[in-house]
Amino acid sequence: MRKISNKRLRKVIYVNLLLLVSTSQVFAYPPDNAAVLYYRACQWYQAEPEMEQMLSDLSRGKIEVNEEIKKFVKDNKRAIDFALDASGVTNCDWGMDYSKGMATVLPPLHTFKKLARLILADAKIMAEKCDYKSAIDRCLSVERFALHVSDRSMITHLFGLAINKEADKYIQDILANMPEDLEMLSWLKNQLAQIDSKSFPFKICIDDANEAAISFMIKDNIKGLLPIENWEVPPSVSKTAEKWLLAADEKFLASNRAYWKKLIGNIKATLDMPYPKAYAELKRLCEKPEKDIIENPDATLTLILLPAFDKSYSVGIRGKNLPNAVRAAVEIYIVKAKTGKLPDALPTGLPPDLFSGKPFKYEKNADGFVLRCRGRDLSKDKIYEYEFKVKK
Amino acid sequence: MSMKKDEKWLDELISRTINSGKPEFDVEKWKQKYPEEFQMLRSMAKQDSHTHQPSIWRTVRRSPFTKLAAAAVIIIAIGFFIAHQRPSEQAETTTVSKVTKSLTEILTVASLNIAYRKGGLEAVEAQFEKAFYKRKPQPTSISAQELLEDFNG
Repeated sequence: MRKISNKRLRKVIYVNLLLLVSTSQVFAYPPDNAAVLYYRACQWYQAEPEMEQMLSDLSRGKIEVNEEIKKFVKDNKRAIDFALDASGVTNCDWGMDYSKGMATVLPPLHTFKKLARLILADAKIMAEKCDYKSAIDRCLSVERFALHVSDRSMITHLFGLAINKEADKYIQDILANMPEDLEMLSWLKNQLAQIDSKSFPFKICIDDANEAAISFMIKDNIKGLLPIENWEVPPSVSKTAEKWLLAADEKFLASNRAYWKKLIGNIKATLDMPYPKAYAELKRLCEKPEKDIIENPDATLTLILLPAFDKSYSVGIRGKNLPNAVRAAVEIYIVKAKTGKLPDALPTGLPPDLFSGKPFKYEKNADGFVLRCRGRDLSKDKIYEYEFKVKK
Repeated sequence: MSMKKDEKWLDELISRTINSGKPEFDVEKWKQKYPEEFQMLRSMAKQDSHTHQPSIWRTVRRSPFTKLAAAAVIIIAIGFFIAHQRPSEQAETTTVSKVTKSLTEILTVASLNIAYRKGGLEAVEAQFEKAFYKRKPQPTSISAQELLEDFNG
């Protein structure tokens, strides 16, 4: 009798323990998926178009923080808090059904960008109050947010880079205005290194586009490609493309898949080349289907479905070059904090200028220093330089 | 009124007027006396029997069940016609929807890739704005009273 009651008691204890453990997991905050909190932040974000324009101008350095922006940031504090909490969560699953390939619906990337601008405006307000640690912390949160946004699709990747670039612009601005603080600079350096270790290469976007396009190239989807005008096909070859599509059969699909695979293989190989060569080769490869289609129906589906990899590659390099300059600048600020003066030459082992693959050209001036690119952005025909001021 | 009914009515009227019992009609005598009229009547009778013969078609046509069945057949035929037309109509709808795409359609990887090819990230952002602009605007704030009204229906 005693044994039976002991057994029962043990069972009750086990069940209670199990319940305690499971309920604590259910109600744990933050949840194990950052996307849930970002979506909640989007839900709470409220802005009039005029304010959004103001935030865009603030991020471009056209205006300074004003009372309207301060009020707006205060009113959206809940959205900021959700996004900041989310950025601290490692796992981020946006809930996208990638099995749908090209029909996958992407999350509200434009709202993510606005949300990032809101947090960065808050960072600027913090910096104005001389709370530089909190200001930089917010910028770093936005960089983690950018990592979360930068998913495997080319578009999400580009949005992630754009958000990250804006955060780096704000860090550049804060560094120019904050007093020397070796501890904070070292902390910033480590945080940036941690963030960089989680970024992924552009090749993953090409793999994703490849999978999506191959699964799309089936007979049932061919009819959906008409009318051809919807696919931004160059007008000079649209009639030819339409002609090939109307005559499509299984043989056509198989040869189109083979053409696509070969081209994608060549595109991936170019990414290992230095920027100028890679850009020229990518441009040539992306224009190839337009030339081939006149005589070769195998190029039809590639012409229609190929994303603008040449364009996005340049945007990607541009998007990563400012962060590289900021990381190099942090090292220079550290030298200044340690020695009391700016170095005469650029320290070795710093992140390079991605347009040339070489270290930035370093120049001191009256306000601080400039990191100049050695290579040209071939898509914009421009050489960039990044100015870093030092507080006197 | 039919001819047979006319005859009956006339016989009755005559017998009532004369009051002399039922009149007897000698057919053979009348035939001999009025051969032309007899021939005419005969031809008329032939014609009448021919025209008044209850044909199957007429029976079928006059039956309410047949009318119902015919209506059903017409409805089914129209249904089949519409069902048969649907695929081509769907194709037309797809074509139209490509031009005026739905909210989810313009936010797909394929659609955003096209927008990017056209105008870079700005065009992609514009596409997002367009898609979300179509959504019903959410109220910026809600009072406690409005909330209670919502709960109470």
